[in-house]
Amino acid sequence: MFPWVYGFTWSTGNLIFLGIFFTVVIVIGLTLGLSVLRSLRSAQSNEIAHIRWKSEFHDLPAAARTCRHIFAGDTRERTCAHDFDCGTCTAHRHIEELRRSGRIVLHRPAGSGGFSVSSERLYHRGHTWLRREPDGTVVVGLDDLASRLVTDRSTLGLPPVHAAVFRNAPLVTIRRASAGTRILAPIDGEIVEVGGEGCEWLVRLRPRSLGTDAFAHLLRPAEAAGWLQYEFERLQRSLASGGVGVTMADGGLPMQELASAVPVDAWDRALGEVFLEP
Amino acid sequence: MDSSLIPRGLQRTSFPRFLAWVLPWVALLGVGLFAVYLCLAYGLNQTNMDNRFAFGAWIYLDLTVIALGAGAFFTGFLLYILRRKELAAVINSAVVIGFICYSGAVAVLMVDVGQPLRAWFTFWHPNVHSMLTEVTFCITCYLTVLAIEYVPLILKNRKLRKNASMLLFEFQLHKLMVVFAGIGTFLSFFHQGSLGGLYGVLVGRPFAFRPAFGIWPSTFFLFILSAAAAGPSFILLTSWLVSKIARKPLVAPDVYRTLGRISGSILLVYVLLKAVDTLVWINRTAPGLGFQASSFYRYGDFGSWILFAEIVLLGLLPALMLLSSRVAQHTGWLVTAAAMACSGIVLNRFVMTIQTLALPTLPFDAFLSYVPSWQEVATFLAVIAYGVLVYSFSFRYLNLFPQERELRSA
Repeated sequence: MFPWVYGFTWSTGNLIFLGIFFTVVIVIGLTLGLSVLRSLRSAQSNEIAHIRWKSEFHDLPAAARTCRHIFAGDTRERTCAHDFDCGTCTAHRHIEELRRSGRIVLHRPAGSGGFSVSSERLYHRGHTWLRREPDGTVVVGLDDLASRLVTDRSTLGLPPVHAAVFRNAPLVTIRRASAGTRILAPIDGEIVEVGGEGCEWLVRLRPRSLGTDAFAHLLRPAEAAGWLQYEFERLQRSLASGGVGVTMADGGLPMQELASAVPVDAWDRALGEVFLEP
Repeated sequence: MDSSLIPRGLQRTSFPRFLAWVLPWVALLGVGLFAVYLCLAYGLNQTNMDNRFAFGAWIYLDLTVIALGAGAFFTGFLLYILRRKELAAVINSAVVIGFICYSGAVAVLMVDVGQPLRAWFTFWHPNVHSMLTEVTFCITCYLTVLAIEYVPLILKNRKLRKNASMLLFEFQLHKLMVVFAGIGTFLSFFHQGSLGGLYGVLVGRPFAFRPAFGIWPSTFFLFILSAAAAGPSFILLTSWLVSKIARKPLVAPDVYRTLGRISGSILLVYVLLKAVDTLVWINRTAPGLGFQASSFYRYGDFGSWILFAEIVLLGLLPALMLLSSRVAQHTGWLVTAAAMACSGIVLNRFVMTIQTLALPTLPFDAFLSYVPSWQEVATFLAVIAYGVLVYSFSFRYLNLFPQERELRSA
């Protein structure tokens, strides 16, 4: 049984002690081997984008993972545990059911904190918007908060035409000085056109699916209004050194050139906060 | 300079200041490594240990850091097995501390055995009747488990996670962490116990000898309990200390309170059992071996005050403090209680290692005194320097405290 152990005898002490020891060693080895095997399988089945997002989502601060139903006023406190994949969330399905039956009404909040929200667009939590076009394609652009942070279009690295993009995987890269991040794709699809200078959108996509489930995770305008306001506050809190402290409301609106107000050494942090990159 | 390696959203001191912090520890480590070289090149005559005082500063250090490092297995057990989610705030730090403690202990053991190249003999020629064999097997396995638990933390470094294969491996490894937490708990339970059992079976040392339950003396169970009590307290203490040095909150106060409550509850049970064990030893075990228990406290500075300090001052008192809701409201008092609890366990390991060997057992024996040589002290300090360095680099480049970002902007 244990021929490699010097002086082994078939005694109870030997059997129990060495049996337990080698079982532990085998379990450690098997578990480690299983991790390696699963990693190789994930790499072959092209799950990298999905796993990268799951890993990044796990590391986001709780404030960045706030449930969409808080912005719609459906609930007071809730943190998303479904990687912003509302299609897999039972609570979301239940609330949507109530909404369809008219027991909950989706109210548009009084304001959006000075950020513009279009009724024709759906919003992704990575600060892109999406508009469905009559030809079956969708156009994707930066929402109002992101646009005020990323004002220089030349800093954006756009994907080539025909490139496949995956939901919550990098769509666009931002390079500014030493800081850099990526902007997440709102849905799965293929790039059919890249927007030029002055265009309101960044890319045109042909979605992999046009079913309701493919867009279920995107925020509707009524939710996006409260969400943008919340996100702006979150950005301000993260940039305030040592906490915000006591503040007084001044009734002001966010400036158009938000980027110029972000200190150089905080730029990296600001990009990470807004574009959900831990 | 190294900002691209620092986790996003975390503020760390400038690189020159970090270097200034690290250099003295590197120097201390260098001196220690020279002492290690002397011990390995010229033998254990470089130490002040001898055939009668075979366990010295190094074994004391091993027992102490292994007890304090128990926070890693216990926090992992509570988080992954018992699902105490709030402890996710300290699990990364606990794993690093556990890894430092165990790797430091194993490194010192390699010097202590004198022939580190023959360390594998213990696996090839195991004495299945020896507690030390069990300790060696368990510690080796558990150090492997801790290294495996440490790997995902490193792979989550901002730079490394950009590499797809590292990210995938980290992700898959993290999903199986519950298995490693379970194995870690199992291994820790036995080696912590066997370290205590090692002394309890010394029938020729009536100061340490204890009656057995089955094959295990009472010290087996007391060591498990004391390590489980000290572990969370040490995590509390180190988290607070790092928070003070870094000058930023790292852990929410309720996490400190949870750690304090867990540590206090186990410490109270430990103190009660330790008191019962001591009473049984005073009234039955020691007289049964022909000794009055009081006779052991007449030598040198090892008076009965040690017993009082160990059980009451650094046992019962911190246990009650950690369980008091009034104390829990003040982090300062909570930290004081945790420091007292850790000191109590450190004192216990000192008593078991040093006092046990110093006391005479035969009529012609004398009280032995032992002062470690500078090589022993330097090796001892090198382990501390190594721990500070590993923790400092981990704190700078890894996200050890997941709540740090949120507490910063709160």
